[in-house]
Amino acid sequence: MSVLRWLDRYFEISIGVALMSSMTIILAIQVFMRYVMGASLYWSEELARYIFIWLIYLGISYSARQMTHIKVDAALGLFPLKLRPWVVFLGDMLFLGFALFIVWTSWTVVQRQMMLGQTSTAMQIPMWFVYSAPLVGFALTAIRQVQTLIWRARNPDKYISEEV
Amino acid sequence: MVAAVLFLSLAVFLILNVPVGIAIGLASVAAIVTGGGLSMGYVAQTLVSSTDSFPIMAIPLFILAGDLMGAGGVSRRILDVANVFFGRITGGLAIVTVVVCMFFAAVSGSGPATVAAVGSMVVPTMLRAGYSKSFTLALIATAGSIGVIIPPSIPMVIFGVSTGQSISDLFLAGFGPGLLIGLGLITYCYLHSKKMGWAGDGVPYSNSRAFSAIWDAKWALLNPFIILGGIYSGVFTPTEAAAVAAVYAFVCGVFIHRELSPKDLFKVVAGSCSTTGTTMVILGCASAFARILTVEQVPGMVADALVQLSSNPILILLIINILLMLVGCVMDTTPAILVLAPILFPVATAVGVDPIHFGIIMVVNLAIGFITPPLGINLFVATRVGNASLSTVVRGIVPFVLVMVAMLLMITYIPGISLGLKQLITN
Repeated sequence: MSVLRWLDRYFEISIGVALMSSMTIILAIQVFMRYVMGASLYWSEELARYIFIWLIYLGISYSARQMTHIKVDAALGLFPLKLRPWVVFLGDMLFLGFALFIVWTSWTVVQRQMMLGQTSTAMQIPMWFVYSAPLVGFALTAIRQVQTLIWRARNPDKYISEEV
Repeated sequence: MVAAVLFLSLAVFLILNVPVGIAIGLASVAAIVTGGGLSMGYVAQTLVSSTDSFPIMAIPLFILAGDLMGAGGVSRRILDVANVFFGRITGGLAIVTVVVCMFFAAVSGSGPATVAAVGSMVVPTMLRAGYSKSFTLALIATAGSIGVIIPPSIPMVIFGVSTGQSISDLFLAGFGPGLLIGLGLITYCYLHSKKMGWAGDGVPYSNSRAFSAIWDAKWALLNPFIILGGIYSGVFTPTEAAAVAAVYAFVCGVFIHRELSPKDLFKVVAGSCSTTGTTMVILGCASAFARILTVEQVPGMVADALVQLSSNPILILLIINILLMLVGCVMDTTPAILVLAPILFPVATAVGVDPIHFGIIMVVNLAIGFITPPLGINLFVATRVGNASLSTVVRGIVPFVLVMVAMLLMITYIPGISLGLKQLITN
């Protein structure tokens, strides 16, 4: 498998699986330490929360690749058969537009956080790092949407969401 | 004006086949552009701030726990146990399906996950036993919605966070309604199967058979006691309970039942990541949407209008139920709660409805939304599980919706069903 092909299939999801697993394990350790060892951890909750935020945005991109985002597919029935591929195409364009909007606006949010130099309470993680999650996630989503649009243009007859 | 832009553009985006979360986000952006009161970065910021929450983290963890449990051989063992006790009665397999869904609901907080986990196993068996396809799939779609009523429950977490109510209290109040709905469905299954001549499997009950099934399922049966026992004895929070449940399901699936290979495991966790992404994008965008509504003082206006209409709690609750059911038909649970809870919560409490009871009413309503077309997510999962068309499932769904509505009315007007357990414990 070529590198590009691997990245296409597994990039977001391999990181996502690692994040999901570590989030779960960190919280299980937190319970164990507090209840069994009687020593509460000060960092675990915060770390798990930030892992969760990053997990969300990689998950959004992965779901865009898999085309598994929840849609009101029944609404397509309102359009004549010939128009439907165009409606789906337009819907994907709007999704792409939203992704780019979030990339643009969260960049300003991240810049502001960098300027303020805020850090998290427990672990002193710079907050701009946390706020970068939607930036990176939606940038990846935008790439996935472009892939989807190309795929749609090539397969105009398969307008109902399917796995590629 | 801004509120009109918000709702109209949302409708347009949904019709144009934009994913639900993204459509809500785009509508929020449109409202910010026309309203001008908030900065452009508002949506991006809310995406992070609304999910930077420890209680909300229970959601991906319950999704993961449910997925691991479904793939790790737990459902099959529970099915065997239920079958020993109920398999021989008329409509036995249908009743077993409801019982297994009720049990699975006590370890999973999601409706669709319950349909997927139990359905993939019982649907082929039921079809082979001669049950009609539309009845079978409608049944599994409906019974799966108990997943959000018997605790743990993802919608209850969202309701608790957005209205500031205790998640543990909400969970506790879910038991009564969950049992009631289960009994209602079992009764309907029995009567309908009798009419259709769907007999039981005829295998007589024996203690040794029961014992061996229960022994084989002991680890699976222990699970809800760990989760719920841990929450109510104060050992851990609902979020931690979800993490412990996921680890427990992992240990059961990989080491005890040995039904999860590393390859399966990756697939299961990847699926949970995807569900987390699709659910949380809706949550983040709907939070922005709900806050714009609040800035525009829409909740207050709706509350005033409703209270002026009538101050009779019976009537107000009826209106709220009808509204929620209509919304449930076209909207997913998460955005429905995030958008409507702030609007309807003050109305209900103003006419004297208990906050926790109101949460349960809302969740049961939206659980009905799982099985009402056009956007009934359980229907979609059932079609996938049964390899059938949507119309096959929808054909069988009507009587089930009626049963659910009857149960909803009882839950709405008899607060004791929800609140009784808490009172019993505190006394």
